[in-house]
Amino acid sequence: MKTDDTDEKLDSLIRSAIGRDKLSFDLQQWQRDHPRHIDEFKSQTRAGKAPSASTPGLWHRILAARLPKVAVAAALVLLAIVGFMELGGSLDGANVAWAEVSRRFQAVPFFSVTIYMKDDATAEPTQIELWMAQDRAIRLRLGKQVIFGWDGSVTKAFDISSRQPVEPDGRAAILIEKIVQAGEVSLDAIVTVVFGGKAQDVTPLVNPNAVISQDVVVFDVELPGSSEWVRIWALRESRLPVRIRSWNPTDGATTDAVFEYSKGQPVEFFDPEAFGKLLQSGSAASRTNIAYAFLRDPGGKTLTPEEMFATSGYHVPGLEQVGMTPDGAVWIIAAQGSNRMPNGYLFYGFGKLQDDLGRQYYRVYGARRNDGDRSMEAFVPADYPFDRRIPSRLILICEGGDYNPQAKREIIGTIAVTDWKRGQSWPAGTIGAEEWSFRTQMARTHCDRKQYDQAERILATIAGQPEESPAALERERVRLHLLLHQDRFDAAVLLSDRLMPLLEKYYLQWHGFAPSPYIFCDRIAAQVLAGRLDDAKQTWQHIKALQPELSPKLSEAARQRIRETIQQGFDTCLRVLVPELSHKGHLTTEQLGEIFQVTVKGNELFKGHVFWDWNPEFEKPKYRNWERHLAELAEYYKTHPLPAMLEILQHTKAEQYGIRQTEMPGIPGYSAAPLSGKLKDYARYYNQQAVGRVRVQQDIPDLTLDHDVIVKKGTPDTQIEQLVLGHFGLEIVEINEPRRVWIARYDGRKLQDYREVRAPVPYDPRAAVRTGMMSASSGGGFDLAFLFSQLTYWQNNDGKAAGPLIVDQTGFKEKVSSESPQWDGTEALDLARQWFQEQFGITFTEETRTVTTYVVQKKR
Amino acid sequence: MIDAERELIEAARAGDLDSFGKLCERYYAPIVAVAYNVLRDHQLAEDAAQEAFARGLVGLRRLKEPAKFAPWLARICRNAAVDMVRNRPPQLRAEDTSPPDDGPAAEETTARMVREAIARLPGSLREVTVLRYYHDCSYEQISAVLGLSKMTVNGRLTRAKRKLAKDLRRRGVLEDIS
Repeated sequence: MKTDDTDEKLDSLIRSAIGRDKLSFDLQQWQRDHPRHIDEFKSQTRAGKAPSASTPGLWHRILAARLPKVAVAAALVLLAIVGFMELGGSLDGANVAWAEVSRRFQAVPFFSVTIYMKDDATAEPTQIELWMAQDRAIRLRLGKQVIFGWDGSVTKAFDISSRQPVEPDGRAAILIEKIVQAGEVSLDAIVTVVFGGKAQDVTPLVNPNAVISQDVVVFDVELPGSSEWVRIWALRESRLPVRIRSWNPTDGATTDAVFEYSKGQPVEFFDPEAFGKLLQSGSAASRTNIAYAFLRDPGGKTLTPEEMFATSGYHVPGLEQVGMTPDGAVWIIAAQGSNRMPNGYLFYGFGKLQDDLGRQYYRVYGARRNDGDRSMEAFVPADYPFDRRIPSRLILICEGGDYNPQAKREIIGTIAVTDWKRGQSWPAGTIGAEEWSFRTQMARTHCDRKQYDQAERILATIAGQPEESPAALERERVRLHLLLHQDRFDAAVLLSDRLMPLLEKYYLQWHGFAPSPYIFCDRIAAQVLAGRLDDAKQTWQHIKALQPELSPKLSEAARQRIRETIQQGFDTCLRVLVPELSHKGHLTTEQLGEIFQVTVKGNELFKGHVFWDWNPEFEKPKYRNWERHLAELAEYYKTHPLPAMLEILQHTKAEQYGIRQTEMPGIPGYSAAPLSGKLKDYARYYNQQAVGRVRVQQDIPDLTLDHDVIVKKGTPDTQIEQLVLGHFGLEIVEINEPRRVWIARYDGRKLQDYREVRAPVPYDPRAAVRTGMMSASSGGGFDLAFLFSQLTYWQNNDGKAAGPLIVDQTGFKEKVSSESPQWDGTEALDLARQWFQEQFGITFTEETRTVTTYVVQKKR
Repeated sequence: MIDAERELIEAARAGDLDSFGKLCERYYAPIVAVAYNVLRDHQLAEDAAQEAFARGLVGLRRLKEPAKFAPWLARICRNAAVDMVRNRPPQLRAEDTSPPDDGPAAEETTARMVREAIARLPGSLREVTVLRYYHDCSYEQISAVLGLSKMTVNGRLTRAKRKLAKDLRRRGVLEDIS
């Protein structure tokens, strides 16, 4: 065969194997797919960042910027880094070893550098961790900030503590900017600016005296016109720089940079959006997880608690001993007792106990010993110590997962036990509590659940005087708590008067751990709620001045830690007492500030709290906008009384409103509220009593509401809705029609505690809410009427009034669930049936019934 | 580099998006081929090329030598493709999951063997081969994108084809090559 023929055949084979036709570039589509890049490109153009051939005087410009010293030092190091890259290739022949260092560095796809800087010889160093990819994407960790940069600008900065986007630290912004500026610097500029303008001196000179080993090569760079010098250490074999130090002999200011090289990091590592999402997730509970999110150790070592969890997962503790005391408390000792959650928190032991008698148990003690990782727990049945029944089987359940009450807890494993030490207390040196403390704990539990008789029944089993017995003192503390719960404040003050010297004595004595001022909280609450504000103020000042005794054996560092713990205890008291007393005692923030000598408004301690007379939310501009707008409306209506029951006015300003009050100041009987959103949506919510029975005709106008509705006080909501819809040319027509109806019936089974009941699909804060996932949660629980109305709502939220309606024949009024699921779409129906059946023993039978439907339509 | 291209690059660097778009159109095929050489997947290769254009757009001002626009873009594309390989979850190959049947058609078997032979070529030869045959890139386009002279491109292609012919003959795909 001729060579040409062979070539042709080979060409044909290759082309048919990999060839491809019709490859065309769609510019429009590409632009739509890359809006961020397009915007960035346009902003570069707007900012006049046109390229230039060289950037002379860069170093002088940096100095002229009067940057903080640390930023200058960091910029110096980074300029040196960029200098390596820029110099690479051009120094061939001049100094082979140095050129090789530059070349190797240039070929590294990813590096990280940890920079330590100090301003003078005795200053504490500041640490910056910087990661940089070949495309110049940058991530920094500086103090409590994680900062992302790209193309010379900070794209986003986050605070590790608050988990919120923040303004970037100025030093980081400068650093990121300078790195990219340096990237534009030509060889000439580097020569002129960084290395003093002498081409012959640019190449750092090998300094053989600076090392005693031949494993590394050391280069020194003198900075002309300055006493500062830079030293670079590079590995002889790989030619990669591993350390750079700058030193200023005049003041001892130094900058050390330690380099690490690897193959790269996942794209998420440099992605601020991915980082922002992570902050919303459970793993963000650990600062380590946040600081090093998405970072992968090239050597495969674990860097964060999340990785530790991924590597080790959960395990069931190894059971060592189980026993039951004569009073019925179950104690459990287990080896390998601790588990670590992805967010870094530890939990230990089993956490939950059941028995074959179906009793509910409470965990009244839990501890872990570092020595041998041993966990120790104690559980008591709900009617402890009166329930003396002996089960034949105990089921130890190890539960993992988040402490977030909305997250479904994961069962790691269970152990059934039929043989345990009966009628025996735990071995000495294990559980560090007296069994009487279980009684007072359970009394508190009953008290918090408003089961006052049960609480008192337990307390009555503890004998003795509080002056003589710790158990009796604790009993009286619970009684004080009980009196506060029952609003018997004068009695509470009397009791606290008696207890105060005893509590003070206990607080002042050394017990082996930091004392907690929290033991005085009920005393102060009693005084405040009894109206004795001055007494409360005195008590607070008195306990603040107390100096608890500390063991003389403690080191100064330990004493300092204890002092800090006590201070944190006072902060905890404030965090609990101030908001609670605000609501319960109707005290103003000023009064509370006076009692506790603290500024309440704007205080970080009370972040997220709402007070009886003040809500931080109302400080937002939208609420002020509404207050001002409402006052303007009031002025108008003082001279223009409502012509009818209702009037609708279009807004004249484009501003946001937050509603705090609707009553018009100075005009009794008039109220105003803004209308916003789509008219169709407003129509859908017509008549709250008719969930699922409102049909909105499709041809009603696509109008966005931007109005106020002003009404006379006392006008029924449904009437207001009719009038508003009428104003926009709509009417409501009631029709009777056959509808699919689900009849709900209950099989009478005993329901579990509503707090245990969750939506069928576990809540995931990182994911969008989907069918079966919790759409609302309540600590106080939801009853069936609410759950049914939600099911009806979701099944009819298209406004067609064609989904099923529910008739509740269960007769059940109690709270049944802590979560209300989202039931959107027809696929939700089977899941809903299953969930109601499994959780509550409720079944649905379907019928067709004639019901009234409210049709919202254009006026005929 | 022809003057028209230089003008397009200068206009793009001055902020003209359309000029950058014209450059993308011009180099789309060879740039996709560069990515295909890394990814061996048509769709992913197009994705990588488009990602490279996006990265190139915002990095355009860092391009020091406009004459080296195409090799610069190709380097970005190579990196983008490598990133995609690195971040792609491990996947089963289609062959691993295919149910046993009568066997693939003869044409498909041959094509697969040719693809495997190309994959066995040294990197520099493989890249030039893929560019040449993936979308019939001209020598001019290949030399522009790879920053090589046409003579070097020709030399590499010749050596690549020689190696391929030898490899395929040994495997019985091209038994009649002398």
